[in-house]
Amino acid sequence: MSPGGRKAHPPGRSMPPQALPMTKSVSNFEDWVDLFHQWQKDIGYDTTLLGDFQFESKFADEDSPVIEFGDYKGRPKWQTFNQIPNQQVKDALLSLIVYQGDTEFASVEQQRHLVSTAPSDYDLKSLVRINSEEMRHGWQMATLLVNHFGETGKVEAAKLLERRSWDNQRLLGSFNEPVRHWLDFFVFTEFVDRDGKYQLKMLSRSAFSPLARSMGPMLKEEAFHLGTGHTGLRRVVQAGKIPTPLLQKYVNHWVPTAYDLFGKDASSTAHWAYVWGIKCRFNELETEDAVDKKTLNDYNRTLYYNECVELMDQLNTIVPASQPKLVAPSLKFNRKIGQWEGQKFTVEGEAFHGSDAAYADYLKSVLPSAEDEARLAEIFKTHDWIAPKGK
Amino acid sequence: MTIAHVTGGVRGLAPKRYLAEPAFLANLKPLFWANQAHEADAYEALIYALHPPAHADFANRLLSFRQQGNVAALGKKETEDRLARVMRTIRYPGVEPLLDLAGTEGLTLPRLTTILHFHHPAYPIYSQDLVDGLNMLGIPCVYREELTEESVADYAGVMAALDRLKTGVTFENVPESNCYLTRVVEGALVQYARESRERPQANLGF
Repeated sequence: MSPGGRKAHPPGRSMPPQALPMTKSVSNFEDWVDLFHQWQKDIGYDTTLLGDFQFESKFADEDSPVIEFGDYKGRPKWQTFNQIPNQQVKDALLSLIVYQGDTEFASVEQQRHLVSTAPSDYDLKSLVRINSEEMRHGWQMATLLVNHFGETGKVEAAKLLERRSWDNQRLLGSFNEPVRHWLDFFVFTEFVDRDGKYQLKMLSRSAFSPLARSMGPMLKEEAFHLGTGHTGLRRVVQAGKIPTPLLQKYVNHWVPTAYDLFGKDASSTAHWAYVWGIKCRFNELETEDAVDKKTLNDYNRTLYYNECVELMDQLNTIVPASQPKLVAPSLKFNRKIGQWEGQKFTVEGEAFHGSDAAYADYLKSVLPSAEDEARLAEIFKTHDWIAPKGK
Repeated sequence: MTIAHVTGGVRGLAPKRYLAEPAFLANLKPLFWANQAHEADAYEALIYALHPPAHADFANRLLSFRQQGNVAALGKKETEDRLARVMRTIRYPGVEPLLDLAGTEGLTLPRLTTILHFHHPAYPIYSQDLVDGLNMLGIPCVYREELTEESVADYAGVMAALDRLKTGVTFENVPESNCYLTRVVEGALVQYARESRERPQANLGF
């Protein structure tokens, strides 16, 4: 497990090292930039779409010169690698940055093919902007790795561009799932990117100043990504062409993967990340709750779940009376890690008392099937599946 | 100390800005959402329907945003082509290409920037409310309707002011929306100006 409790490799998806040939070693950041451009070509990203987007690292002003939580609270933040107290903390920070960077490039790999099916010119603009900014976020993480973490950091920065989502090589489960179409995209940006907001905010008060100062600009950009997801889903519901039971299946597919992104409920790595002051709770500066370092991931996941419920409530205000309301899946449903891993629960969180075969049938009924995909493909042909009505 | 205690005059400008700008940015979310309550439907009906380059009829439809009327001259083939060329070639933050449309009857700078914004959302819609909002923050900007070299320079000044606000706002105050940050700040400033005029004593609570 990585710090923060994120799971390194989903069960049954071990990452074969031989699948990641090193194309070029990285001596400095210019070398990494060459690899980045090569990666864009390799994944087939049409870079002409990016226009004059400037890939650059952005650092906000420091919120606090001193560490704000954990056992080092009150001491000066670490500005350089050498100021980090010991190797364990360095390793934990490296891992956090690698995981964050991995998700950024993975999401571009997942979404790159949606360009040709954008429902409107503005949706295309939104997609390209989101992809550009995710690439910039990956660039930002690579900057930290190359400039602060020595040879190991340079190797890890290169590996960010060598793993591939479609080969199940990305480090976190959500980012190996295909984003098949624009409904997936809107659900993904609403819920999986929202996990990103949580992770970034939890790093925004990190004791390692360059990491903490990276987060503000990333979070500002992330707000557009989340807004794109939520507005997209609202427009889908407004159009009324995709029945809510069908939409619910896609929610059921993605949201539990986002729950898993928070990591195991009782994670020692999350515990230590807090103790060392490198990753806090989502609401660290707003809450008066006493910290329970044993259940940090579950605490943050519960905040996330509550936010999902609010988002569903907002969408439900426009769901027609003739359609079932949307729900945020229970934290127990279809989990791949943690205390509910592999257990049989319904979307609503009720224990499922049938056989394994019956539960498999139940899952088929509440998750997207090949028939659902075919049905959606027909709906997409109508061009009025999303508001306002397209041409 | 509130903004109401710091008013007017050249000497008052700096402290007013010192106090008002952070307060405005801290209230960006509620101001933007209040603006959205009035304008989101009209805005979305246009921005999601636009397939550039906008022909004369759609360009005129864009002017329905904030009821700006029609520009009959856009229907002329030559003007339509020139407008399409400007929309195709202009790159943020350049403003000079706008002058290619100077002299088009009825095409004011607010109207032209409305069309421009829907094609390139990083450009703000220039309006009296927007300029009033900036002035209320203590940021000196000028509003002129006619499309001239001077007014285009004024528009560039408004863009620079917005860029500063976009840079200054912290992530906690950026609303989760499918609108560009330019539109978020512009909508919030328009709302700020309107509310300040409607409730001059209320001081918007900050």
